[in-house]
Parts: sequence; C-alpha cells; structure tokens
Amino acid sequence: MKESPVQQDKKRVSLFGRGENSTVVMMLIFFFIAIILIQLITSAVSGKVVYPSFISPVNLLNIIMQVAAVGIMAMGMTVVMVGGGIDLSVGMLTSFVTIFIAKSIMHWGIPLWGALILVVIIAVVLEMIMGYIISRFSVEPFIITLGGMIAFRGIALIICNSQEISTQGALAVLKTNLIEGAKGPSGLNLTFPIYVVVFIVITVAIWWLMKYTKYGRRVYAVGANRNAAYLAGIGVQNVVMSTYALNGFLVAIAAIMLLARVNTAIITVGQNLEIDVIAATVVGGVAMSGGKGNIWGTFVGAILLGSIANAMNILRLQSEWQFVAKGVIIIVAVTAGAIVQARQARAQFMRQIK
Amino acid sequence: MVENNERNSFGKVGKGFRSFLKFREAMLIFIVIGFVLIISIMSPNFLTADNIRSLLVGLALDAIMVIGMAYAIITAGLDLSIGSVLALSGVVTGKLFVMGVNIWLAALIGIIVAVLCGALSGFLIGKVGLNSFITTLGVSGIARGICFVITEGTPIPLINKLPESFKFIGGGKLKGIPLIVIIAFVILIVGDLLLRRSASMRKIYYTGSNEKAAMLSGINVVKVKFGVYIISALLAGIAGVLADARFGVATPIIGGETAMTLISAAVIGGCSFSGGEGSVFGAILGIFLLSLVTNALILLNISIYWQQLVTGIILVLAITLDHVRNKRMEQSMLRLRKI
Repeated sequence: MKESPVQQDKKRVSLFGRGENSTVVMMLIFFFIAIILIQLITSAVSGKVVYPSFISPVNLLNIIMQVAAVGIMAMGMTVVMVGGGIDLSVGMLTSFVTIFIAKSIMHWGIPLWGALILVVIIAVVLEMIMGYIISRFSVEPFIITLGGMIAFRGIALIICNSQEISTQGALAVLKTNLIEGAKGPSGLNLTFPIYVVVFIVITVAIWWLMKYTKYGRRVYAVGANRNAAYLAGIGVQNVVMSTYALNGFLVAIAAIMLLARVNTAIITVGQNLEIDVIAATVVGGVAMSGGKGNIWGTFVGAILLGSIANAMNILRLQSEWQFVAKGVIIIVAVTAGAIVQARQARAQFMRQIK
Repeated sequence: MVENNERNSFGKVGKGFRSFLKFREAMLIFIVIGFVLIISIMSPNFLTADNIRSLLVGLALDAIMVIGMAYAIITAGLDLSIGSVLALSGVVTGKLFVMGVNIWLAALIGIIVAVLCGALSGFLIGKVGLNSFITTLGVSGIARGICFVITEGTPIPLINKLPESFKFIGGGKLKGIPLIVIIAFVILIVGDLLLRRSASMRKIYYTGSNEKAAMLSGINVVKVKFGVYIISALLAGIAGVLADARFGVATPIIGGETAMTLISAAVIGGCSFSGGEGSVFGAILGIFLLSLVTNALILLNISIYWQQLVTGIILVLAITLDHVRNKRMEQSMLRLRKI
C-alpha cells in the first residue's frame, strides 16, 4: 500500500516516524519501562530490590490470556475499519453468542459441537444483514451497527430472561494447558491455554489475508477510496459486506474463547467490549476514515490496553484509575499518530517543492 | 446549506401542506402523532396527566443534552463523552457539597469542570485535528475514571442535606408543570432558535457540510469546533447538576448509555454523520419517539427485554427509510432542474 515516496521518508522523519507501527510499539515499550521502573523504585525504597513481578513470565502469560478474546475481536474490527466501516455491535453480539451457546447446551439439549457451528453461522448471518444494509443503501455504518447493538442486546435478554447460565465447564477443552507442569522462576505454575494459540493463529491468518491476498488488498482499496475502487472494477458492495461477515465469524470465535475462560454466560460479558475493541484498533494505528492500518499494530494496541488494567493491579493502585489511564493512552496514541502523519505529509510536500 | 436549497426549490413547487411534507422533520412528526394515537387507543392510561408528566420528566435531561450532540453531529463530529461529563459534573458538585461548600457554588464548579472536559475535546478535535470519535472516547474514559476516583465507586447521598431551594429545581412544580421540564423547554427553544437564526451558529452548518470551503470563506473552523464541544459539555454539566437536584444522589455510573441514546435520537431526527444536516427540533423529536416507545411498552405490559429489540429495529428502519426518502428527493430535484 505504501508507495515509494513514503519509503524514502523513512530516512528523513525523526525516530518517532519510522515504520507504520512505531508509535504504538514505542508506547508499549515506554509503558513497560515505566511500570518496571516504578516497581524497582518502590521495592528499593522499602529495603530490598526484587525482580519486578510485572514482567515475570507468569504475569506476561496472564496479560496475553486476558487480551486473547478482545484481541481476536480487534482483528475483525481492523478488517471492518480498514474497509471504511465500524462495528459497534460486537460487544452485544458476544453476549448473545455466549448466552446462545450456554442456553442450547444446558437447556435445549443441542450437542456442544452443533451449538458451536450453529452459533457461528448465526453470528455471520446477523453481521451479514447489517453489512447488506450498510453496503447496499450506503447508510452510516455507525448508526446501523448501533441499532444492531441495541437489537442484539434485546435478543440476548429475551433468550436468557436476564439470568446467568453456567456452562459447568463444557468448554474446558479450550482451557487445556499446553505447557502443563512448567514452572516460572518464582515457582508458580505457567499456563498457556489453547485459546491463546487460537488468538495467535487468527492474528497470523488475518495478517496474511490482509497483506498478501487479493481480497485483503481490495479491502484496503475500498477503504481508501470507494469510488476509485469501484472504477477499478472491484465489487465494492460485496467487499464491504464480506468484511462484516468476517467480523461476525471472528466475534463468534472470540465469544467462544471468552465463554471457555469465564464459564458463565451473562449479558454483561460483552458490555462496553466494543469500546475496548475499537480503542485497541485505533491505538494500533487504524484510521477511522478507512484504508489505513495493519494487523500487527492492532495486536500491539490490544496488548498495550490489556496490560494497563494488569499494571494497575500489580502496582496496587485503585482499579478506578485504569479508566483515566486508558483515556489518556488513547488520546496520546492518536495525537502522536496524527503528529507523525502531519510530519510525513510535510516532508513529502517539502521534497516535492524542492 | 443543502437543507435550505431543498426548502426553496420545493417551496416554489408545492404549497401549504405539500411543502410542509417536504420538511425533514415532517415524517417524524407524523410517526410520533401516529404512535401517540395508537398507544392512546391501546392503553387508557397513556393520555393521563400523571403519565405525560412522568414521560416529560424522564426525557428532560436527555433533551437538554441532545442539543450538544446535535451540534456536534452537524459539524460532522460526535461527542461520546456527554454521559461521563454528566456524571462528572454531578459527582464534583455532590462531593464539594458534602465537604461543606455552598451548593450553588459547588454546582458552578461542577459545571466549570464539565466545560474543561469540553475544552479538552474541543482543543484536540479542532486544533490538533483528531478524530472526534476516538478523542471523545478518551475524554469519556478520563471523566468516568475521575468520577470513580472521587466517589470510590459508591454513590454520594445528598437528599437529606440539600437546601429546599435546590431540591425545588429538581422536584418542584410550577402550576402543575415540573420545573425541570420548564428548564429543559427553555434551553431547547434557545438552542433551536440560535441554530436557526444566529449568524454565528449557522457557521456550524457551513463547517459541517464543507470544512475546506468554510475555512476558505473566512470562517474560523477551529473556533467553531471548539465552541461546539464546549457547548455540549456545558449542557451536560447543567444536566449533571439537575440530576443531582432531581435524584438527591450523585452517582458515578449515571449516563452510561446516554451517549448512544443521544446519537440514536439525533440521527433519527435527521442529523447526518457526514455533517451539515439536522436540527435541534428533529433531535428532540427523536428523543421523544424513543421515550414514547419505552413508555408504550411499559404501559402495554410487554417484557422490558423486548424494548431493546424494538428500539434497535426502529433505529435501523428510521435510518434506512430516511435514506431512501432522501435519495428520492435528490432525484426529483434533479428532474426539476432538467425541466
């Protein structure tokens, strides 16, 4: 996607502008260093210096376990947003999927695998309906998916009658620890469940899809300039619709992983999840206007946002501060991104008039 | 801009009723009236003074805040922080009052804090040029976080200590009409008239419909955007203080869904995300319709869970219908020009 002028810019722009994901990667590194320093200083003040528990293997695995579900959803959101859309309904779709699975295996007597396949199909179809309306009538995706969000919450509440449903460990297979018996330096058991593997596999798959396939490049083209893409012979409407369908598939997978982790289906599982997902995506450098962004940026963004809450716990701060920290990080990330972009544009302009 | 053209060209063609039909809000007015008729036939309790009063009190705060949202959407922006700013101003007011500050001074400080939030979003969106969605999302997180930090997550009860004069604002009545409804009504009239008549507020439309053209024709776009987010936060701040007065408690979790409700209402009322379109009047009709749906489902004894589904479907239908209608209007305008 990046043309040669931008490639040349790499030499001219300062450290901050190097590469597409530099902003978010730098922020992650700064954040980690800051937390480690705080931990070292506080332990030094209290007498003896200890290894900072924030970067202990146990905690790092913990962070990635907490991030997995949001991360998978952020991959789907990246595809949708690169295609020029947005999806606010993912949070409530997650609630709906978890409740549907729990209800069908516990109360309706549908076998587990049947329920999983059924729910994935339903999620894809629901998203496709929204995608159809968005692409065919070219209505604002924001508002259609907002309507979808409200409607999905209604369906989920009607199904579960506002009660929580325990799955009684029906999905425990997804929690299987792949490195059973491995111990960290502090003697704690390390866990590396299957759903983390699923997260990583999906990340790689979507990265490959977006970067190296014809389909992925079409999504970028549609997001960058719809009319130009249309004139270039791309079926714009179908591409847009397919991004939502793909998103529905990924949300269903993420919801299954989430259900495996928490073991209980309840309406609040997905509440405000869309905000976290969009935040991770945007912090990762995906532009709200479409056509810009990549999967690894989103990956780092998800990890960054996921480690904030974790760091708050490690530092024994009031958990309420995490809202403030998240807000500040979103604003800083977006501002830094905008500044880098402005500098690149200026550098390009200066070279042109030279 | 676009809106004006539409009105003029159709003013020549149609007369009286027909030109009324071409008003953007006409369809919505019909829907609301039809809805009222249907509910009043189905439920005898609908058209009672008590029900209407509680309906109006229920939507008063949302109605005040929807002005800010409509302004933001007309500038092709969005303000997701309204709900959190509402909570922040209420919580700051409540906390200061509990600490012994005079309630009126506390309310003033609460509103100032809210305006500061608006100034932050306005600065980042107008001056730095960030995307409004993500900026206000960040500001929303900050405001909500400060709420939780101040209150440590628990509501602050005020009801027993509040002076009568302050409680009167939230719960008092003038000739049977709740004072909070009158306040909302006055703010709405001012907000709507300013947007229609005041030259400086018309700049909101120019900025929204074509930012570059507005800038080139000498409008200070940065100032307009800055102002819009400050107004939006100011109204949210006022609503937060009113919420304190009405409920007698400052809750950190109030307004969690407010932003989404307001966006739905504004868009149902004809605001377009691409900017330059919409009106305060339409947005209020949107709020009215959403409240009517809730009220009707309660009166008709339908499970509260259906309410969400119905609201969502109404939203999608309203937008799609409006879009189809707009397209048809554009086509007929084209035809007119050819003739």
